[in-house]
Amino acid sequence: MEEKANINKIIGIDLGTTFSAVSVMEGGVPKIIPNTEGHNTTPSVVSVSSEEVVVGEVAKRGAALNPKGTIRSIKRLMGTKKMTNVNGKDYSPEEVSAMVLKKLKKDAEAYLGHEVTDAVITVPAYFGDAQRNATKDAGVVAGLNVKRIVNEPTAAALAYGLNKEEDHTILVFDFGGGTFDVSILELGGGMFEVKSTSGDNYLGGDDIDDAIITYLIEEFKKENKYDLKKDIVAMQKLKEAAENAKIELSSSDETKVAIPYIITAEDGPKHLDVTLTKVKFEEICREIFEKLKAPIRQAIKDAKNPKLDKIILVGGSTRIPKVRELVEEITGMAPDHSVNPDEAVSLGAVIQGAIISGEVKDVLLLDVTSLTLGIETQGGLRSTLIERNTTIPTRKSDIFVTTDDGQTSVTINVLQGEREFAADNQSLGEFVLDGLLPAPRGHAKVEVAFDIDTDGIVSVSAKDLATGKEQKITVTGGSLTEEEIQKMINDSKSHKAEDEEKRDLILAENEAMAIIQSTANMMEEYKDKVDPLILGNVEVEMKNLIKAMNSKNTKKIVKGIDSFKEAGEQIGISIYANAEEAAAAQAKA
Amino acid sequence: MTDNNDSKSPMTETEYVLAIQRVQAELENFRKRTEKEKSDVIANANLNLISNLLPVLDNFELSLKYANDKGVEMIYNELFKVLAKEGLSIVDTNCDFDANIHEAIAQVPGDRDGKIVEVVQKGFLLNGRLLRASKVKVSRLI
Repeated sequence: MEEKANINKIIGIDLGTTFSAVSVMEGGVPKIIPNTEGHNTTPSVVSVSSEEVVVGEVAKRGAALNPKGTIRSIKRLMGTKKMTNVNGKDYSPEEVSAMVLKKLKKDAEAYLGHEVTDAVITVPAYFGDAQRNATKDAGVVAGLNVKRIVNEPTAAALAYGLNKEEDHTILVFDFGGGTFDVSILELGGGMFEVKSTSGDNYLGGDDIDDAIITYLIEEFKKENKYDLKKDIVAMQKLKEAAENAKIELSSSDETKVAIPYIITAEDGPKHLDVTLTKVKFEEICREIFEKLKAPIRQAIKDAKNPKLDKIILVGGSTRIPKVRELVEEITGMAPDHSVNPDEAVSLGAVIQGAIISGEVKDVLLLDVTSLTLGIETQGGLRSTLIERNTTIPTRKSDIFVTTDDGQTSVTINVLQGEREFAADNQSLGEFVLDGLLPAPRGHAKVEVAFDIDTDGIVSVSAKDLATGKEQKITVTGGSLTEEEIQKMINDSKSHKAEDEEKRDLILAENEAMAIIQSTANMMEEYKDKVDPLILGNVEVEMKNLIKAMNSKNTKKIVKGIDSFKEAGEQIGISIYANAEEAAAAQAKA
Repeated sequence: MTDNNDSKSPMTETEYVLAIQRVQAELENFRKRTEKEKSDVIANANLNLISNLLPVLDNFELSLKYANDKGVEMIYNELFKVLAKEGLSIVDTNCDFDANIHEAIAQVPGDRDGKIVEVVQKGFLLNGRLLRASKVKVSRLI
């Protein structure tokens, strides 16, 4: 049965100019397949020699020894009749692409543990018929049954979870290692239509690395008068350092490029030590960034200035903050970058594959809760039952206790939202569970359970564990619009610190109340058996604690609780000591 | 330039059964793969940390090459011993060029093809998995 179920597993392939990636559906979710070298993307590099054909990282490593037999960026030749001659044999672009596809197929098979035949392969939106057919033929040569050729921006949109049933217009900004594409897509009525495309076939992250290397060489020259360009080993080190610096500057404002012993001169070894700030980085890459602007404007113009509903980012170079800023500057809209930009196209390809095979339609498309669900607890706090982004259907329960002596009913206030306090969240409904047996506080236990079904309908039940009595309520959680949800999430972020402070204070107050109550009870019970000095001490600490509570200062209250606890413990100690003495006296007698 | 969506006809009972079987099989396969991934993760838990330490090892070696300090050498050996215990080993370069573990940065004239004549940067394996290929210069028969 397992075999049968596996037969139609479709893989999604992003056959890129510099890098390629392959994905598969796993439990209804698209997942990138790591190659046998353990990486999520594979260089689209092929090395052909008289003995063998190697692809990917291994081909790249041997490139210096086989310059004529190493083929890169074959995608640029797709659809042409240009042959690549290696050792007297001609290879068509289809054949070379097939070598890359074969490697991806093999890696997918190694990962899945069975043969793979069906695939969806992506191509740039501007590819014409000849290029699309060539890509399909490459798939056939690689032993793949190409179920469909899909546009890269379409695949990206699918990976970003965009629904083609709803009418909207999106801009896909794809800035990869070696190419740059802008596409405008119109979605609706079950179709993706490419309205316009623009870009630069020879612009990518590699150009940014080169700009950094050039800068580092210049800086080194200023101090040391040596040209690192002439040193092949130094250049290797610079390339690595430039890539790392670029990555670092995507998340911090400056980075230190340090390469000790980069070169040995007549007067001894030299070190490269340059601090590269983000501002400087943006300055040295200004020309590259400038080149991104015109194609965006062109694509918008060619699509007849549509109202854009969304901007999505694809390609590793879109991790650079300046690139995102630039996109926002021109489109007037903050781009969405929630999907890994190196993986989006491949992930989208496999989603398309799953739609074709019916896998996505078959298995329930699992949704997630957009906001946290919980109930109100003592002091107006919100206690979480189901966190946001939990995959539904799901069920979660927790046990709560009464807060007052002799309490016979509890009110369950069902809350939705991200804030710490009940009042700041949305109340979805309220109900009362009564008939609890009177007992001291903390003794009556009530189990509260939340159940969300596939449609997002929430049922909340409360059950008295002593009597088995139960009450429940059913509410719909999905009444909020996307904007309202976003606002609630943003509010929670901006109020996080203040909410937490307030929550800590209330938690401290709750604890103080509880300990005062229990200690007072104990004092009442044992007042004749305990040294009045100890009792007096406890009373002093109690007064201090009450004073601290009046001050509404969390730290003071926590400190007050500690001192009060310490004093209170003396009561217990003295009672036990008295009891032991009495027992000893009895034994003697 | 459009990507068509596929029609949505209602599913038959047989299709439902097949779908459930598929999901079940997939869950089973997913479980097996997760097991394997988990053991890989455990085996290579230090992969990132050790990868980030490789440039430090390189620089240690370079500093020893330029200033032969016995103390520094002892510290370096101690550090390497700790890493070796976690499974770090040096890529063998006492052999012919192999692109699976070596990266060629240049070709130099020699008496035959494919011989490693100079190691520019050491390569490392962690528990048999390549962390970094060794960068080498390779001979070529002229």
